[in-house]
Amino acid sequence: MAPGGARSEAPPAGQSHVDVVSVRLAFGDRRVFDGLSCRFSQARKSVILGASGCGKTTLLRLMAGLQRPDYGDIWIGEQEISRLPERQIRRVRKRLGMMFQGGALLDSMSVFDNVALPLREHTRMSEKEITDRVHAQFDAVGLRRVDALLPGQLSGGMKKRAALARAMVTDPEILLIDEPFSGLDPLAVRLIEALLVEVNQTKGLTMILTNHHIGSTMRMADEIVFLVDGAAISGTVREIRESIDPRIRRFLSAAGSGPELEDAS
Amino acid sequence: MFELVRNVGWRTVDNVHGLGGITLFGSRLVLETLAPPYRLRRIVDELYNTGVLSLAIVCASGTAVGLVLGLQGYNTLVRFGAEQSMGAVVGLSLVRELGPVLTALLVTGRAGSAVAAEIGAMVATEQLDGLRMMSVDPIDFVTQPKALALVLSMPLLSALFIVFGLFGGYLVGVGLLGVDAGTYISSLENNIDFRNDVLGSLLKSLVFGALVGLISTWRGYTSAPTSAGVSRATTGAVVQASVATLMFDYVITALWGVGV
Repeated sequence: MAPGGARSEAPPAGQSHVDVVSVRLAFGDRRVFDGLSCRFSQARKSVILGASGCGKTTLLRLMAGLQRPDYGDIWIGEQEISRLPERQIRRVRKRLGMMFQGGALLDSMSVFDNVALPLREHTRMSEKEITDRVHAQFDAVGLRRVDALLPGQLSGGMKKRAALARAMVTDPEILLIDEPFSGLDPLAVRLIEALLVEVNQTKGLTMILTNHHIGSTMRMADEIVFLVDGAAISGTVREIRESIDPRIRRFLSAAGSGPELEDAS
Repeated sequence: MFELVRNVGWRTVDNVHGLGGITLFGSRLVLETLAPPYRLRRIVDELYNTGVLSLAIVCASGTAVGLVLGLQGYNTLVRFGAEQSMGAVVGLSLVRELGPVLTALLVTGRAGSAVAAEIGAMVATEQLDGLRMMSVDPIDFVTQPKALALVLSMPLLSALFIVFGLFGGYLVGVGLLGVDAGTYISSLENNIDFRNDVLGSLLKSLVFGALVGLISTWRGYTSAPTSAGVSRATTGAVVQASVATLMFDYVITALWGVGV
């Protein structure tokens, strides 16, 4: 495969929903990924783990088409997106939802308008239908009486829920979630965690999260992709926990000194 | 020496790259303005932010400039016994030059900086990426209404600046220095030509509005996603838009005003 060239055929049929193939990426002199390959299965909760600065968020942005790799392919289902023009990527993104770490809600619009925005932009739904859909989403994520509030008036946990509502309102096939538990207290972590598990079970969507919260990862993940030295080590929770790779052992034992891992296991 | 040549080379490449970028960005703004969807609601909101909220500063500044022009104009004209031409001096100065230029500088400082800072903050907080993830083009949704609002509001604000400036000149000339009111008004009417003066002023305002809109939105849109990046974008927008306004003022005056 030549640099910048396209793969001649789609990935082999199977459970895989998102495929990252031989991706290399550098920011200036700093190499982030050096031949990274990993896959994310359909309708599963996959958690990307790794130390700070290892490229977890960058990997999510690659899958969202917000960042282009220097080399390699990103497959969303049967569609390779790494070299698609922006106009075509926009079409692919209609199948994706993304919840950003800080929420990324438009701070000049009310929470209701934020969640209603993709429906107003891409559907011919009436205002009544949009209102019903948005309120159904608010119910699903446990938000009440927030319609007229601005994002700046929400707490951290409420902001995450509103962002999740916006990411899910168009019923995407794949949900990309960046650090859903960062900055939240343990109770809020449990609430968001339960919410994500419920969403995954009821809607059956493919969920890909970045997380440095080991306890919640071990509780909720179906698969773990561990980023280390610009490459990925994938496995189930059990496989990762029992891995003899010293880099994984070191990472998990460092996290295990806190109460979270004990709680998880 | 080698280092110097290399730095100059890189800076040149960087500037050419930036010029290409802003040209493409400007083309996108024009295309998004012409093509549906027409975001009337957002444009009206931005007209309020850039236009209505700039009214007070523009009117106050216009009056102050008119007062000073009246005083300075009178003191100069009286030496030549030509104080009856005061209306013409104040009017021509305001309509041909000071109205459009000072309005553009004021709007750059008030609205242009706000536009750059707001878009820069949206970049830093991933709001533009959030829009992209909803398959909404941020150039169409965020930057185009802001740029268009600046283009549309600039001639109106400039006209208001001129009216308040004329009023300031009238206050000083007629109210304070004893120039005859009829003489002031008739001097104004007789010496200001619609095509050469008023249309030229309008053209300048439109060009300045386009420059301020383009530069402010571009600097915000391309800002680094950090607080320092937002700060640099805001300062850069004000400096570049102000310098561009003054440079284009010369070009338009030279092209439009020759032979008048």
